[in-house]
Amino acid sequence: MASRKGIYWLSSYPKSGNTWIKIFLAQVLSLSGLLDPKRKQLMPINEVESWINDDIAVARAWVNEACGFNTAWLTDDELDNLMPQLYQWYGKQQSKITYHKIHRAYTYLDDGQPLLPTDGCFGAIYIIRNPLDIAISMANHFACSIDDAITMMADRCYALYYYPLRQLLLSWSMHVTSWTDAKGINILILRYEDMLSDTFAIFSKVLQFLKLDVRESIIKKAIAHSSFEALQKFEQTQGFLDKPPMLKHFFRKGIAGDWQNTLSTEQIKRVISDHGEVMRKWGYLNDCW
Amino acid sequence: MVLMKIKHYYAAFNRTIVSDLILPEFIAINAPISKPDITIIVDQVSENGLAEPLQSGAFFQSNREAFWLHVPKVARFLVTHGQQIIIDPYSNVSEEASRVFLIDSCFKALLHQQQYLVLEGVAVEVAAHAVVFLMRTGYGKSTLAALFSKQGYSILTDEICAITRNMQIVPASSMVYLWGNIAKQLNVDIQLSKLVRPGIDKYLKPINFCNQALPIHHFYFVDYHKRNDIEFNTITPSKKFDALQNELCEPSYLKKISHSSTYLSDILNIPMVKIMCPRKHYTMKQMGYIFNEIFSEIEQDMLRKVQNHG
Repeated sequence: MASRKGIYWLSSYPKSGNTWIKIFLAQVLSLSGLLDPKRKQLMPINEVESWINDDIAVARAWVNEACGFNTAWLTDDELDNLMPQLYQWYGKQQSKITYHKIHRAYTYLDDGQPLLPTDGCFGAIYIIRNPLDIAISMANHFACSIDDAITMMADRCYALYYYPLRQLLLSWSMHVTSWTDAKGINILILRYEDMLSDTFAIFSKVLQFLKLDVRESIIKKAIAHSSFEALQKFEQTQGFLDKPPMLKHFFRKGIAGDWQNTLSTEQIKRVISDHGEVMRKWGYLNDCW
Repeated sequence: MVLMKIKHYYAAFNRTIVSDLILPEFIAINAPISKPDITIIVDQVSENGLAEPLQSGAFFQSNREAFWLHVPKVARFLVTHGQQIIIDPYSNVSEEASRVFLIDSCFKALLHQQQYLVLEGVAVEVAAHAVVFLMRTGYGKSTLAALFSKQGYSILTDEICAITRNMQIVPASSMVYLWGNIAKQLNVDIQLSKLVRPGIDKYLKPINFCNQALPIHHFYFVDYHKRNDIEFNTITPSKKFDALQNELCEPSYLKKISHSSTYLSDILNIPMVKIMCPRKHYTMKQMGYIFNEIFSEIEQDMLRKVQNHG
């Protein structure tokens, strides 16, 4: 029987729980021997990046290798136009299912085709988080004020240039809508807040979506070793290699609802004014707001 | 009536070139050359690539005699037998828009076909020798070359290191391609400089150029670490082989047809040093800034090694 090969995307707007699900999944794959049948054990946190990362979303080396020319000579738009063919080429080089973190919005090229091709893609897990909480995490992550983070999240053309490949995020609302309304792609939509409050059920759903038949004990062990407290403790004692150099901590609070203690009324009103419609759709606005 | 195309004559890589395109990167020769080593013409190139490729990517194919490259909406290129490059540009694409792919990938492939060992790096003249900094794409080669040039050193190349069997490096281009932000940082005037390619903030800048082949004195393998210090480590003979396997900086599209094994015993005789540079900044475009901060340490190490080893 031919082995299955293809791509699953783990997608979210930045600071929405993507790293959490990435570490959980890596632990499940490792504990169940799907990465290495001889090594059914927990994976050291700093090794997760070697198995599940965002290289094919942000790194230029593989793109240059696939192209045969230095893509720094292309404009960002020119390179975006090549990405569907490059992802298809990448998929063909793989011998198994691969999982990739991504922060890009789900965008389409001028000819109407999606930048992330559906051909060779099994699906995507998309995590939504309350933008009021994201604003605080974004400010910390990008070392800017909360007001600047709110402005960033409202920018309809916002792109991350911190990495070699441009990643168009668009505004938070546009990012959420781009993925949740994406056509032709098999997608599991999760809310970060539900992942926190009902972890076992949601993470079991994730594995079901990924067609990974895993024992309950493995799921529980993977959850325990990817919990926020475990990751925070790990970072404090051993250091987290994925942490951007200018950050003091990558795993900061990891809670839902911090905005109620941190944001000013003015800041809350700005976020709601920018994103109210999408927030309401995903259950982030009650009658008080 | 057949219109004759204007031919342009150049010297680069110890070779003579006749070209349908203007190539400001290379040294112009005023008199026509009857038997050029390399011919560059504009003509048709197959859409389907090579008949028997040994290596393929999404947009290129290569074997020992030919390299086929497709830059979508820009041009197709065919490089054959180390002698000829054919360019087939899309309609309405300017020479400027396609030239950089010719100078970079196509020349690397052509020199490879001529049996040079082709690596990516910067080569600087020190005491009639070449000190070679091997660096991957995006690691700041042009910045390093511009800094050396600014300090009065002569540069053999800021990108294509074409190495001969007797371990000499041949001179490439008298120009570097410098990012606009880096030029500003280094106080390099780019007001009158041409853009390397429309829409890309990179400029063509002349450098102090060494126009003769020089024996290689030593290699630096340049990489980054997440610390704030710079580290120099001499690669011991027992570790040289591994270093060459992992860090030779060959163009990836030539790896399956590499000449490195042919050159191996000679390369192993060359001293090698690993430099780990601090990676304080995030974007690749900003990584060149680092060299401005650590240049004097690199220069001192380089001069010390040349003096010590003669």
